[in-house]
Amino acid sequence: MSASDSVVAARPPQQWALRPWLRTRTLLLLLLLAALALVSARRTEIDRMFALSAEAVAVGVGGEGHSQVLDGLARIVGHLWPLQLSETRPVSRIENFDRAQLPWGSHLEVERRREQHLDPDTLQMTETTVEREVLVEPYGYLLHVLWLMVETLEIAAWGTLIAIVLAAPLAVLGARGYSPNRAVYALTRGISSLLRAIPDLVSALFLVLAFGFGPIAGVLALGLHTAGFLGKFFAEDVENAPRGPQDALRAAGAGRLELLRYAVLPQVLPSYIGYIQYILERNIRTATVIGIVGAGGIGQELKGRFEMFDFQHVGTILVVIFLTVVALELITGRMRARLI
Amino acid sequence: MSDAEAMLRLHGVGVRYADGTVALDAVELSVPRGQFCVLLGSSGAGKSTLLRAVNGLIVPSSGVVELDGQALRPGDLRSRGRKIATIHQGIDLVPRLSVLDNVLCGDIAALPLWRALLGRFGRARQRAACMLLAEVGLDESQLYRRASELSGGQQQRVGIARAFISRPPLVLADEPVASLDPRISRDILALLRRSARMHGATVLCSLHQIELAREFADRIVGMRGGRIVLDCAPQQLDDARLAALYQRGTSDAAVAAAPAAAAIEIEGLRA
Ligand SMILES: Nc1ncnc2c1ncn2[C@@H]1O[C@H](COP(=O)(O)OP(=O)(O)O)[C@@H](O)[C@H]1O
Ligand SMILES: [Mg+2]
Repeated sequence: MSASDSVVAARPPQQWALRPWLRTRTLLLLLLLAALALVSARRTEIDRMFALSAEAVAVGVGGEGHSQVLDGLARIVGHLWPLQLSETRPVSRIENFDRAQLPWGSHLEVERRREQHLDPDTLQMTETTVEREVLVEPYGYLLHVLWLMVETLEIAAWGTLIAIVLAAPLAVLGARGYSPNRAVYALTRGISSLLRAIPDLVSALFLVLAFGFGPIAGVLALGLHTAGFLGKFFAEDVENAPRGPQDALRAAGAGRLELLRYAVLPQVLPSYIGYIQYILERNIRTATVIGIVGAGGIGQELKGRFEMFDFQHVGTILVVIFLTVVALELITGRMRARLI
Repeated sequence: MSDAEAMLRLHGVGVRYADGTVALDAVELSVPRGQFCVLLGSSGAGKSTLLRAVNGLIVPSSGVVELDGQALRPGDLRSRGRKIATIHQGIDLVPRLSVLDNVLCGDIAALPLWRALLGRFGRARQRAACMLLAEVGLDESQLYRRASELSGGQQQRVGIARAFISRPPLVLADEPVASLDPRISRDILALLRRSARMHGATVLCSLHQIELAREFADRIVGMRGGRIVLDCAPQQLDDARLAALYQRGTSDAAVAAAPAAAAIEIEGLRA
């Protein structure tokens, strides 16, 4: 257009301006980033992280010397093992205990414990042996943990369902072409990003105050947070759905809802299923830890045991979580292969 | 031809896009009942715009569109969709929807909303769809296949079935054979013509292939730069008329060859 453009265009190709390999602007930007990284590394002890990790690797490979990291890990792992599988309860504390009908697979034992008392007369420590009858369920604790894992999966499933239900209106009202007007569009997209912006662990903290300890807070926290994701993903797919079929049905007289049902939904359904699967997996992972703030599931047990230093119990919980996540990967991988 | 017989009448229809492009410039056109009228013109001539102004996908900036003597209200696509069916350029079936559902969607405006949303199209309408599918040359094995699994020619056959299921008095077709090879193009146009005759529909069909237009049209209307520049019987379409229709100035090659002259010409067209 302008005069200078035509002058440049008119130069012979031998004189065409070629850009340098690194432009000053790029160089300055890289230097700035390096400076930022240096400052930040000091603050987050990245240097120490490297030093300790290198030491651990050296000791691990060489087998000599001491590494703070390896020693710490070994101590914890040593405490986790052997896993706590059984559950032992004093009979006196079981309500309506029926000696004739013991739970399946359990047996009674007599537990002897030495206890030290201060004799009030002699002011001497005396040792007595206390006997009490206990009910031993060999896999009692494992079953308890598995049951909590089931509850965790249920929390994730309900959270995901709530997210889908909330995301449906967020998707329609937050998609250009289907949103009634700009204000509704902006508001809907705003709600979606707000929901995404509040971490579920944080909202669970508050929901526990509102709804009390237990799964309700977990379900709501997961549902609200992931509704923000699904709302955004769903809306963007609606916006990017091919126009041709939509125009064709519009010309045939279809209204907005009919267009969504017949021209949009069939096209976006495969990717919607993909998003839902991803969110479900993510919710299962988060549901295992959301109990740490008291919002139900296996995390609540994990935190309780950790705080009581019951590391063998913690070991059982960790193994169950790990196996569940692995099983989940296998199952969803197979489901995806079948769907696509 | 008297106006009383006109199925479709455009009076002073102009379309100006948001970016200022004048795609239709005060178009006058009258299509009598039962005619197979072909719109001819190079790319960018305004054929699609004209068809969209008729089916309501575009609201004209000026002028009136009359169907069967009645002016169409802009914006009311639902009642318009029951009288005017459109076969679009390229893929316009819903790819992942079954062949049957695609055809049934052509009659969606005749259903109450709840029935449409639940997919309760009704047995009678489903039967009608089967009859139409057989008419256009598909068989039972394709009924529940996804539209995307069909060949291009078969897809356009489904498109024709979808157009006729609402028993529309007027069928618009926007380059219905643009992406098909010549032999299949011929079959599809023959099918469109035969179906229109059978169902007593008037057709306004845009094409860019002169040979096909000559072969199938009752009448040829030529467009250039948003105006109708030609209106004749197919036999009258001689070289002189074609030269006038496809004058240089609208193609990129011509612009590159003679920048100054072409620029002036385009300005003249768009003014
Ligand atoms: N959505 C749009 N916005 C702006 N300009 C458009 C739009 N659609 C078409 N045009 C312009 O309008 C003119 C006519 O286009 P169109 O009706 O598609 O022609 P044809 O179908 O004959 O190829 C062209 O110049 C084209 O670039
Ligand atoms: Mg076109």
